[in-house]
Amino acid sequence: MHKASSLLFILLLGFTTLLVGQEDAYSNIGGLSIQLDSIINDGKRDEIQRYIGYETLLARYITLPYDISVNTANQGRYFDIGYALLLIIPISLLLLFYRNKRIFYFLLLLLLTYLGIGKYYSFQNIPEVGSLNRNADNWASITGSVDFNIIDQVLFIFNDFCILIAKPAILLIEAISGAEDSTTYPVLIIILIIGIILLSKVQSIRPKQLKFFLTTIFIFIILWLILSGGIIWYGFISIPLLFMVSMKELKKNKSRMIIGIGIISLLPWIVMSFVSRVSNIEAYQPKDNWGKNILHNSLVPYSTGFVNAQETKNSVYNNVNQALEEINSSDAFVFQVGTSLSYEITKSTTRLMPDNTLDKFYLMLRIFGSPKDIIPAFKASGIEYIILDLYTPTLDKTPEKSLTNKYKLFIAALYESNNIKLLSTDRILTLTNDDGQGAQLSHIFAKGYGDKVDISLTNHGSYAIFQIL
Amino acid sequence: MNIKEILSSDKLQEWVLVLFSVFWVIVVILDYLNKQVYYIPSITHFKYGILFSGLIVLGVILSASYTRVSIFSKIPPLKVNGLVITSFMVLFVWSIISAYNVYWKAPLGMSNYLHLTQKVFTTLGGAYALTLAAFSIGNLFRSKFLPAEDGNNLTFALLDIVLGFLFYSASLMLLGAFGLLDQYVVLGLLLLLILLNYKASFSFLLKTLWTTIKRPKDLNFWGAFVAFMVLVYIAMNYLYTQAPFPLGFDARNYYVNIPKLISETGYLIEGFQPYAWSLIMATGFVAFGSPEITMFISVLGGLLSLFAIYDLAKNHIGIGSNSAFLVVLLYLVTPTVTNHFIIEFKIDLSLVFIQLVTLSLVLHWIKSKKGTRTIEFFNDKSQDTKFLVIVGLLFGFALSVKVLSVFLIIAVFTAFWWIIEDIYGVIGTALSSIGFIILLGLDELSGLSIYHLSSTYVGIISLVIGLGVLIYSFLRSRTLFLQVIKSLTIIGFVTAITFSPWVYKNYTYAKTNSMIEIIIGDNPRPTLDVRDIIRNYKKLK
Repeated sequence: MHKASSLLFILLLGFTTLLVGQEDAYSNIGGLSIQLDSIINDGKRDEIQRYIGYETLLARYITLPYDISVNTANQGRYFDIGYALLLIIPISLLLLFYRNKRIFYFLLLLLLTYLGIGKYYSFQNIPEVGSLNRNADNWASITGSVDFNIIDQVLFIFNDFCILIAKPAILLIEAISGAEDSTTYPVLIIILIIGIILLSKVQSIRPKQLKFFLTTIFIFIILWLILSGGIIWYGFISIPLLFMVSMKELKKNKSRMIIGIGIISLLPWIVMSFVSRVSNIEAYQPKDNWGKNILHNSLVPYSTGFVNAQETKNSVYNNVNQALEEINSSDAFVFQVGTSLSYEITKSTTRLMPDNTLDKFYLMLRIFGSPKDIIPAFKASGIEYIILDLYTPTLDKTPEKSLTNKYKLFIAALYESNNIKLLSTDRILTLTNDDGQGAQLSHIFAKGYGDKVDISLTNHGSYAIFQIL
Repeated sequence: MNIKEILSSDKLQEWVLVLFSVFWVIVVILDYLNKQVYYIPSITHFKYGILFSGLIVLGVILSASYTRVSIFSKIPPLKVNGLVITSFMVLFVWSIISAYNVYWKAPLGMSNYLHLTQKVFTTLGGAYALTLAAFSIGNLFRSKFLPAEDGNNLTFALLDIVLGFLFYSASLMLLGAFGLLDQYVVLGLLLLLILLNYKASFSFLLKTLWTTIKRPKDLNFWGAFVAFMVLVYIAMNYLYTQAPFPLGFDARNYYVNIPKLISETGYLIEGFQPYAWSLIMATGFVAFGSPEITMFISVLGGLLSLFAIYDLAKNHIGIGSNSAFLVVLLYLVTPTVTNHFIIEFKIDLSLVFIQLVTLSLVLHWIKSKKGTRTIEFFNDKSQDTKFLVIVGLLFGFALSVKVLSVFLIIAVFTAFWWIIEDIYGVIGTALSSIGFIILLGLDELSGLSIYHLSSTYVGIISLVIGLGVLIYSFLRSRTLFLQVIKSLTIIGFVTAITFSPWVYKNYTYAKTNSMIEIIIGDNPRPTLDVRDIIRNYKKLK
């Protein structure tokens, strides 16, 4: 049982008109209770580990190459290396060890097992799309006209097959690892040594420079795996290097069929990624504009001379200039929760107090005991402005939703205060009264409009800037 | 035939491989598509069919003409040089803007196209001047130290550019320490670097702009077509740099913000990780007053890395020019890489460039000893030392761009033992490196170390076993072991010297005894922290 002192329930009654995010759960947090002890206040866990996922520790490392290829932990161009490497490396590895039949068959089994492990844990990684069926439903609802039943059915058979092969390995991982363990590092080190020994055994890589090259790539990838937390761009160099060695192995092979499979299977990827860049579809775009944005709609008017830099800034960040001028006319401290607006703040290195994952806010909340104390505490220390990234909770991939809860509490602190003034935001709410009359409001919540007004989100927006009075 | 015989059959193995490959390809592609939301809509909502049909037809004609296939073998071949490529880039940019305007519906006139063209040439010109200066000074240094060898012109040209960037960033660092980073000083520096080696500068100008680019002997139609598509892709992404400010989160908070802050004061700015490439990017703001050039210098590293990929793939890995272009395209269209070309103007693409050139150099050095017996590998002491010093300089520069280059340094140090065919050296170095990393707490950067319950013991055991294996290696062959250790010491020493100014800078800012903080640096922060806020509020209450 928890001690009373270690528990804090925040009861925010009367927030019936609060709208702080796109999820339904946020639209009305009257009576919301958040147990502070349920929040793991670890910024690296929120921000960096979302790349590597939150499954069993050993699986977090082992499935990382699969995760970053198939995008199970995070989605979007930012994180996506595509499937090409996942496709071509295993085939190249089999070709590399082709002459040694024992290693060849062992490796083949290992690869199937690996695919099964990746698939098994990928479902855990994205609970909101916890099964292929649901994922395909989401997809079909977006694309509308495309029927994915065949893909579903084919994938279900393949998935079951792969997971069946991987079952002993999955059981082993679950037995020796957990949320924390003493076995993951030794296992990774053993993989490292086995890899080096295997590389020394391959007859086809006799030239010193090739052996040097392959070992360099292998060690680099192991180090990236252990140290990078899954951040893809820390290992960018391995992308061309792996393509190079894969190509070399494919070209060395005499079987035209294998070369054909290898090369031809890469072509759809090139076409698809090219087309994807041209269409440039992003989540925030209205569906009517899908496919049109080969260029950035706010930057083209600037590069063709229709507008100047200030007008472009106002276009991208929706009338942010006035708020920035206000902040830059002062030397006061600025509390910054996410956003990239530090670029626009003068003396940003000495004035900005960044708290992207709200760790500092959480510490203060634990000490003060109530969100109501946060704004007065800021004021007492000379913090006069708050910049808030409205997409902050979308970073949160933690199973317990720590960042999301911290964000809700921060919004509560803003809502509770009568001493803040909104300087600027690109969020737009539509308020509709009982008579059906609607009005738009540029704010992050509709405070003071009472219960009789329906609130809908017209534009989610990306930022809000407040002044502490 | 019993099972053993069946399994050992070559035919069976081939069919198993084919079946596995087909299965793998289907599963991976379906799995990927099933988890991606926007690929299929990208195809179903594709709206630039006319533009790309036109470009593909143009690409087919140009590729056929360049490689002289079919009817094109009877007409004079297309001569390609830097100016022709630039002209095509401008044509692509215009075409893309025109196609975009079908939906944008702006009153685009000739003045807008000229405005855009002027921006294209200004940005390219600024970045070209910087590259020319880097090549010039790099060539001056390298040619006195290590003469170029026939057949490796591209490798050495890229090496010159990297060395030049190293020299240039060191000069900017020195100037920044005294607050001398202003327009006239930096423009003067660029001019000086170009004139110091004016013959090489002139030759670079001719070769990159005027001289016809020699067609690789093995280049076929498909290789040329892939190269053409690389150009189209670059042109499409290029327009994202023509902005008054960056859009990416890290670009705005760090990598373009640092050059902006430098340009505001003329001084190096306190804090942050070592930022040698951001310092080079500052040229855009300081010398040209242009955010576009600043952002394009970030992309410049990426463009140069494409040359480095081609060079490494074709000349050192030996996959031929067609496959080398395919690797370039595969890298370029990787979505996360594309993101660094259009949104996140960071330093990672430039780091890839430096790292690839380093690898090419090491491979070139090893290959140059082909036929040499292992025992005689290090016999040419003077020449070897020069190579090792340059590798150390490149590693030091890479660390100054991003400290996490240490991954590649450890990887190269480990793989280095294959030069003397010593697997014990490889395993010993790998284990002891991992041990050091864990004990130094470098794995804390991802925040995952707390979940490894016995990491200290693992670190110690790994280190002890690694050192033990290295001792065994020493006992097996003392002479060769010491030669490798000597080589690695030279590289390590030069790396440390090259990186040391950043260590000094970090120390003067952080004033801490933490080795990690001194090496990695610390983000700048205000004097106010959470404890102050809590204390101030409690006092008030």
